Amino acid sequence: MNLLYAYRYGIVGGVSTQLLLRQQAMQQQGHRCDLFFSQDNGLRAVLPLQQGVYFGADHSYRSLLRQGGYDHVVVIDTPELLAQSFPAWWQPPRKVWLDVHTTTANGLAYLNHLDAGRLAGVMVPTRYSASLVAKRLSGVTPHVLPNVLDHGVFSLPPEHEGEDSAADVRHFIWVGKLDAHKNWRLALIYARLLKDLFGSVQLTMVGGYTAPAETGEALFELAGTLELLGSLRWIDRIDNQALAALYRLCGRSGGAMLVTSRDESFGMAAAEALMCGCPLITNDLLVFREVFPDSDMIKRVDIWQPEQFEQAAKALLAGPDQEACRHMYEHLSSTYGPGAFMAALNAALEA
Amino acid sequence: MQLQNLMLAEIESRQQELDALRSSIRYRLGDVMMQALPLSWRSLRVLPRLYALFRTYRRNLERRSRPEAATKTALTSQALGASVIYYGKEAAQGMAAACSFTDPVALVARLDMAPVSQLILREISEPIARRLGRLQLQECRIIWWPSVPEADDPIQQYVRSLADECRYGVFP
Repeated sequence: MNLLYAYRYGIVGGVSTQLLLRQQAMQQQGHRCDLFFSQDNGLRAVLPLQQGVYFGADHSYRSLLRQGGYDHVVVIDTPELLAQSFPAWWQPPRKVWLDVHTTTANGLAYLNHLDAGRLAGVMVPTRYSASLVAKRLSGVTPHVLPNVLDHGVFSLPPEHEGEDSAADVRHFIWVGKLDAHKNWRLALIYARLLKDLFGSVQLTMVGGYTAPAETGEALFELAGTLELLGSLRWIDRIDNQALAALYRLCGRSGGAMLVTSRDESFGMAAAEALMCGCPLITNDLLVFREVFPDSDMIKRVDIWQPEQFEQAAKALLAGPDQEACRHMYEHLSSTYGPGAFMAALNAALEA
Repeated sequence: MQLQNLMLAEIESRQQELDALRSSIRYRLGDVMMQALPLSWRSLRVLPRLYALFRTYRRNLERRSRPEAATKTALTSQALGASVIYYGKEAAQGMAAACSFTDPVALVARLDMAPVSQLILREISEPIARRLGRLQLQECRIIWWPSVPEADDPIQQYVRSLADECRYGVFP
């Protein structure tokens, strides 16, 4: 199989990282999988000499399509690339697929103007996303291809690691783009509540590499208003090894990951945190009920109800139950491993 | 206090969303079209407003398609190889081993390019502050040495709390 994934944003994290994991899964099975990004939002710097990853403008994309000889082209939420993906009548045939990862109303709006008739099919990462797409593309039944989790990097800490360290500071983490959809302001507000509750806390906010300066200034401003500047660390970009270490630290210290998003298509960061033994205090999202099993590690709340958040925070144990952590890791790494993805991909392509 | 802030922030963010929606071309177009109803000779009055919206739309499109100005900054090989970096308008006295920067754009470019073992900051701004957490994670030691007395500025407070070392001398 010779497949190309095309996406607009070459960002560290999110869909871009997912594509790298899918590429790895396909290559391990002996397939060729290339990735094309029409913008470099910081990804190229962390991928030196990576084979089969291309960045460029429209003409580069067309040239790659001509020379690549792809059997399948999968475009993720990028209408301008989708329009260029269909072969001309004199070119060898290839199947063009749409993969929908966005869940926002704005992000999905392009589907309303899409002619799905030319597509070989539509792919989504969850049944939840499938329902959102089906509402906008009548007569289309999307194929659900689960995301791939990197269970090698995001894994439980070795037993007894850090047991001697005094957990006098509870570490909390929030991961995401600094936008209204991810609701970063609410994460800061709840960090203040956690500080009142536990005394000594540290909130690490990860993400926002591409956020405009005004957003950065607003973050510092709000943290100042909430008297949180001494308990805050903002890391705009991070590699996976360091992120996994942060998740483990949070879990060990009796802290958690805060998920304030209004919606998610899958919840990659949340899944990775859970695999490292870091509990979640999360907005009760429908998709999380699909992706994650019931577990004491997940405290689901209505994030617009501070009382619920407070109850969930109080229920955090000094450290997560080892058995629950192990069960969660095993469930996620098997359900969302490379094998599960490849099986779903093959089924979709052959359907 | 937290609940009050929560409500205010919530109201603010919802208001921002509403404002963004109302100022969107699509919303304004719908608004103008509605004013043209019921169709009569009075409907013609909306034509200038439709034309103005069309011009705004075209202008936005042009702006979006314009390539961003290149922000590449030429860095000397000394700057690229330096492991101790000093940033501030005042001369780096007694800092012979440090590579000195006065331009924040050049500093940011250097910080994103290769690891640094020590960063001495005499001044701070948002583009630098947002990188400090990442630098510390890469084992960079951050020294905050303000060149003027600190103001009630959240970014300065953030650096002070995050820094591995704070130096305060006699301010001019």
